[in-house]
Amino acid sequence: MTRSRQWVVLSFLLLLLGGLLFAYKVVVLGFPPLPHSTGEKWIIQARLEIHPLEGPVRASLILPSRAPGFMVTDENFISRGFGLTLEEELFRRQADWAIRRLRESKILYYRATVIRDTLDRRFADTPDFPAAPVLDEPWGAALKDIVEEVRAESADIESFAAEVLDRLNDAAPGENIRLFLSATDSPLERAELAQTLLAGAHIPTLLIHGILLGRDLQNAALKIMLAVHNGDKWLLFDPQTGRPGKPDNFLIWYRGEEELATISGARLEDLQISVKQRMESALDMAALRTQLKDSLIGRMSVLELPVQTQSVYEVLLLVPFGILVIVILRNFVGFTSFGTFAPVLIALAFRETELVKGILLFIMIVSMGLLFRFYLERLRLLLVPRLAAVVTIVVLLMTAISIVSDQIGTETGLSVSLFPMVIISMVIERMSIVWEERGGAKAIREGLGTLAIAALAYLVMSLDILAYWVTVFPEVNLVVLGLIIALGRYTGFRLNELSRFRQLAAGSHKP
Amino acid sequence: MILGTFGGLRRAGVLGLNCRNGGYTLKYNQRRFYPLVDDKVLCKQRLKERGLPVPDLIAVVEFNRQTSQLEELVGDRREFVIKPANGSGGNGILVITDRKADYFLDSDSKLVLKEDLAHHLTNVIGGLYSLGGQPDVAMIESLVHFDPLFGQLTYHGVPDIRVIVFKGYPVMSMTRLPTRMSHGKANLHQGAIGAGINLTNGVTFGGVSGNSLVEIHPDTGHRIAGFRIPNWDRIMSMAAQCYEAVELGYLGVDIVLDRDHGPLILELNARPGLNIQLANRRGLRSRLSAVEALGSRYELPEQRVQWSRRTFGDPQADPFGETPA
Repeated sequence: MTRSRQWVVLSFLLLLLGGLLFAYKVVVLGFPPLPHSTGEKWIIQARLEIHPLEGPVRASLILPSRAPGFMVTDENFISRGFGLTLEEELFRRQADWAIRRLRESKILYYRATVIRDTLDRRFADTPDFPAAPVLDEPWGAALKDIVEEVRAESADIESFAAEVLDRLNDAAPGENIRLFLSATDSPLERAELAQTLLAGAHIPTLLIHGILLGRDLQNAALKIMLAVHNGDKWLLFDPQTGRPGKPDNFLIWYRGEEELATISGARLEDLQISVKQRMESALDMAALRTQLKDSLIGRMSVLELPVQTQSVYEVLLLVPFGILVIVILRNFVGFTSFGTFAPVLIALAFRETELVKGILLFIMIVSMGLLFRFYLERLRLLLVPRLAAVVTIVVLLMTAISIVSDQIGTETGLSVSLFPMVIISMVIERMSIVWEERGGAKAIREGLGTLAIAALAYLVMSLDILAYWVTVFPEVNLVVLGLIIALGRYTGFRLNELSRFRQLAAGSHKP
Repeated sequence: MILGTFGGLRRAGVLGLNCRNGGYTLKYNQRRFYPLVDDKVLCKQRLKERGLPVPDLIAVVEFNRQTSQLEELVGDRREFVIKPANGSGGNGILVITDRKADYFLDSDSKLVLKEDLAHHLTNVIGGLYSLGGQPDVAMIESLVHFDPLFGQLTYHGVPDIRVIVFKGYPVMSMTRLPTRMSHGKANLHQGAIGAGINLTNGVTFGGVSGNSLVEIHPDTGHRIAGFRIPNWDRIMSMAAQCYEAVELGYLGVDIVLDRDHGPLILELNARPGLNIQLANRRGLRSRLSAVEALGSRYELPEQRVQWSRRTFGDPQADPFGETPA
């Protein structure tokens, strides 16, 4: 590859790398791309009230595990006096409370915080094919009929399952279906019936129990969904409606035919599940997710640094954006300023003073400094001592402004201390030289140019979204670098050259 | 409207600053040769070694203590020029044209005290006018007396001739005529008049001041167009030879015509400005491309000059539509 084209590749790679990292963080780690965005989190609570019968008491509660689209970030158990053990498997978690002797009714609590996750994880193992159920007549013949009819009207396992559920939920079910339906009345039984019918076609199924996370629910009922395996992955159906797919808010709690809670040595008086919804900063939740997932790229964030260092980097990481503004203004528009990057440093000071006050303070210091500088010119000082004198004067001016403004009782003047005094001194020095050599008009014009660039750089650097991006997605600076490299090869005209050379433009002079 | 001008400039082959930097100076001027032109003392030495004529160097002032010993440095010369060795854009140049008992006179006949001179020298040495603000040295040079033929076209100061030399080929030329507005300086952005020169015969086209056409020199009242530059053959040949002397592909050569010594090379510039296009009312790019297309066909400076004068001087293409006298 020739050297002259390398910049294209380099710039493209930088843009791509920055973009990919950004996209990975947004899509996989769930970092919100916009600031101030919030998301829901839910506090779910299971409340078990048990009444002792006799002997040792044992209470088991199945806990949420591996719920696709959700993540449990925090859980706790309130069960004074009970011993607690947890059984953890990949697709099943259970808490066991045990006590040797229980005298009176007791309430056990399980509480978990659930947030959304970006991953759609597998929620159960790949199953074996079930044997066809052996049923008494007339059910056996009916099953066979149904399977054959449905098979004729479906293309694959998914449409087969959908068709079966449709028939079960039909307002006017067929004769065969009616035969089966007459023995079911609860949602659970209906789901089990669907399982039986699908097993007739050797289709593996699994009952899924979960809750629909809503706003606040005092007594959330467990909802049953039917999972159907199509040989490749699990598909979810709502057995009540036949609708396919997992509802967005459906939190899978557990799978199989078990009860949520099983008690021995006591009676379960009451089992209540409640849900509370809270709004939380999407960024905090993303950070929590990243932590739980232990993602390396996620940890490469300024947010992981100590707080003080963070605030330094918040500013530093914005500088490339200010510099990008300068590149554009100088190489595309044709602005000139005192000092190449002085405007960025002045713009950083504006961040503390606000724009209008900053500009006023800047003009104040520079004009007073210039007066002193004109006087110094008469003393014929050597260059370095003269510069040193200007810096000293600028420091004194800044102090004076702060003290006076404090005495008056405004805080505006206090922030002047953040101005880059050396940079301002250099601006004063160069301005005074231009003033003497090219006249005051030229000097003031160039000084205002510097100020205008600084103001524009400030406006860009104070964009909320940029401040947010550089801290959460520092890789956006790779994009900035890619842009700067690409702009560095722009050899077209600058805007001011359009007017400078306008008489040379083709067609504007006589042929 | 903006896009229209944009396309118009492109079609006219105007060279913009970005294009000059990205396409020519960065490409054809190797950085290691820059000091040869940026440091005027070094440059003068190199040109002298090559047998190219330059104004005499009177003294180099390197230390602050030397500034108070001006008499020892300039002897009894009544006229001289102080320049920062690393200056740019004509900044920091002080021209002394006469000397009285206790003071000097500059080109505007303004009074310059000895202390003023010493202060100016310390500023130069301190790096006030140097490119990066680095410490510099001051150069004291003999004053050029311009050829009286030029008298009708200049106000005080010394008119000079700028030749853009690309890969050793003169590609465009202009003369810069000082005016009252430019305080006798030959700098276009300070108000001097630029007038393009036909490379073939050394005859000036009309003048340009800022962005407007000038037919008559505002201070002398003489017509600018149609002036035949004396010694044009020599000037072209000197400009072309500078390529071998400093090995910079894109070069601005500034030449003055001295009454007694003929053409002298005043200084070289590795980043010559683009106003020469305004003075010639013509873009540089097509000429640069023509030279690039040549490859390395002509080796000798004289051959290159001949090619350039043949190729770039067509009076048919005179943008002012005037046939030089």
